[in-house]
Amino acid sequence: MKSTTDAIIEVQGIELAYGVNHVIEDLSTTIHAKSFIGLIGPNGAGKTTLLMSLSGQFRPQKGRILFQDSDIYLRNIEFKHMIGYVHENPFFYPYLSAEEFLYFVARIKKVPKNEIESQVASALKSVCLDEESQKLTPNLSMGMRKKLAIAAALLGIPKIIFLDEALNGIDIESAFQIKQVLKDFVANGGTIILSSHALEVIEKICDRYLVLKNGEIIADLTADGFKKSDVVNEDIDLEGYIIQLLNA
Amino acid sequence: MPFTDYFVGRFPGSLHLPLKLGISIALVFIMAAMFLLGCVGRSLFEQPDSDQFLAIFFQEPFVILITLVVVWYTVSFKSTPARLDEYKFLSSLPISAGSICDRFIGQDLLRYSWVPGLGIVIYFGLLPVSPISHLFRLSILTVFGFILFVVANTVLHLLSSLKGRNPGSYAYPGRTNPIIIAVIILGYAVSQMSFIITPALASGYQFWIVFILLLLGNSASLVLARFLFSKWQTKNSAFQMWADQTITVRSSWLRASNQFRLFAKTDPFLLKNLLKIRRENTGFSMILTAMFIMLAYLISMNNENINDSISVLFAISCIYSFLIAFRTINQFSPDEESPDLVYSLPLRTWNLYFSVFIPAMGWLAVVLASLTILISGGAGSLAGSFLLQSLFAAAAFLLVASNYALGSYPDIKEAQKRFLYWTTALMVLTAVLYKYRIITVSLLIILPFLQLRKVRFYRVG
Repeated sequence: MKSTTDAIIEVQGIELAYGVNHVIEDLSTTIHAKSFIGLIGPNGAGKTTLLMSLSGQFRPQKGRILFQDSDIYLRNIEFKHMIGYVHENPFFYPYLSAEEFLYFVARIKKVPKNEIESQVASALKSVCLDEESQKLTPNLSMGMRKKLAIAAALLGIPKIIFLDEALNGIDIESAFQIKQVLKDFVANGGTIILSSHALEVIEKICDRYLVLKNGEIIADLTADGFKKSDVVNEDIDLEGYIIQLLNA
Repeated sequence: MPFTDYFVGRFPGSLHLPLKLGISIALVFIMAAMFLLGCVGRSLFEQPDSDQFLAIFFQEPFVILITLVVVWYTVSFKSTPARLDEYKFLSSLPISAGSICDRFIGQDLLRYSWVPGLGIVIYFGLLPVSPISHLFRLSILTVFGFILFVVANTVLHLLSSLKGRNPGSYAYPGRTNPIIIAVIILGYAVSQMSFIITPALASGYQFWIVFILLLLGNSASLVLARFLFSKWQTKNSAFQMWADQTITVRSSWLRASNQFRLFAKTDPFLLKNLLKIRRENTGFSMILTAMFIMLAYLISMNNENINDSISVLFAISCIYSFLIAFRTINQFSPDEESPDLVYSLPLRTWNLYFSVFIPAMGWLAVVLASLTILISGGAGSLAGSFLLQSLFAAAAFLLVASNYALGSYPDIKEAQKRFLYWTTALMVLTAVLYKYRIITVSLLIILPFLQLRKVRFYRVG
């Protein structure tokens, strides 16, 4: 585990509920800079809700989320300038082309005007979408839409990127390239929180695993720690271990 | 499959056979009765007094007929997203192109059957000044003219879909062309007007000539429609049609016109909404608005006193502004501005506010200015006063609607409810406190701004 000095997000006893339906209860954790975190859990565990809350989109009923010692809901707009978010089913305006959508997001994120064109081109290239950039968004396939959402999240050089099932439905070649882009992002000081059911992806690219069940973190493991731990042997991998944890 | 099979419900998937059969028999019976009572013997030559007939017609039935035409246009345009799916399904079955064409024409005839129905009701309102046999003949011509124009509508859509290098674009059957619909509906209205203005056309042997011409036109256009549909289908597999729907935008907005570049520098949301207006099919709105302007002008000018005319026009413009403002709330619906996107971006309230307010206000300003130009010939100063008042009312409605929409975002039902309550309060309070109406109205406009304090672009559990 990294030292507390490089903590980028501090979660302090948050509770999240939709009406009377409590999803997350008294959850605390720390997200460190330059980390690639995999959020794992069964359907309904609260992964998306937690991601939404950590990204300033769902204010907790109790507790606080601090970004560099400031409550992200008190400085919501400033915080959102520093993040990128990819939804599981991303939304696009049907009357804009892929490129126009990226220009739109870049303007909202206040990317300097002289950098917009290069950032958009670079983002399109990094997700292998440069050849489809002039298509209206309804004409993009599901995989392409995911790629476009990832490209939008990369704009404005964010400090944190949240990915909710973002790599699902993307072809092998593009997925490989996107994973490389995400790894480079982390290597250059960024932080990524990725929610996914694809454990083989998480195992390959993440350096920390948070296992969520019924709104609680039931395991918080570093990749290195997990590999060196006693639980790993020839018969059990991350998938087997997680299944054991969830059934416990 | 023969055309008539559609009406007796033998087409695959057709339901309610006894009901359709019953309606078909009733229609044939009524039509036969109208022929017997209006088109044979001495009754064929009975005519109303032309001057009296027209005087009564232009008092009220005319305005109702124009309204009917506008409503028909509005409804016609909102057609057929489901028809694409139906076409996809039907084209996978062993059914001939002609039968599918019949099916679609039959659907249109049934869907808009209220048009000749209401037309007949309007004509029978003229019973005090016309022999009933003449009204029967007018009704017959209305029904057969309606069939002709509906089939011609299909023919024109097919022709437009077959032109160009890539025959059979997606215009038919899934999308409607507003210009074609306008031409068809205006053609129908003009033909009906000609029967009314010239009663001789619907009387005596001329009636039979017109009727036979209509029958021949119906038959010919039906044959033509089936032929064109077959040609269209041959050149367009369903898959080709989906492929054609892939639209590529050649120019990005940064390379678009200077005007758009200027907006891009100020607010991307506003630019986005302007692009939406530019790319969505605005022909329909333009024609509908032109019809509204004409109708509003005609209704208001039905008064002898110019002050009364302008008061009526102001009332109509207020209703129009209210409707546009109410529609503006829809632009904040989750389908238009997804909370997923809005909540994940660093947005400020004004980004959304002005991007909706400015285009809507611009639209209203153009409409109100057009009305002002129409009335300015007779009363220049009154027209200026009308313009100022109506612009103020339009801005007030839009501001209040935008405030409620943003305050309740993304719950537009709540916003619509509040806006309706506000409008009711406005009407009641200004009536009760008429003496203090300026203060009342000002307060009612200012208070909804408090809604903006509630705006948060994140979810609260």
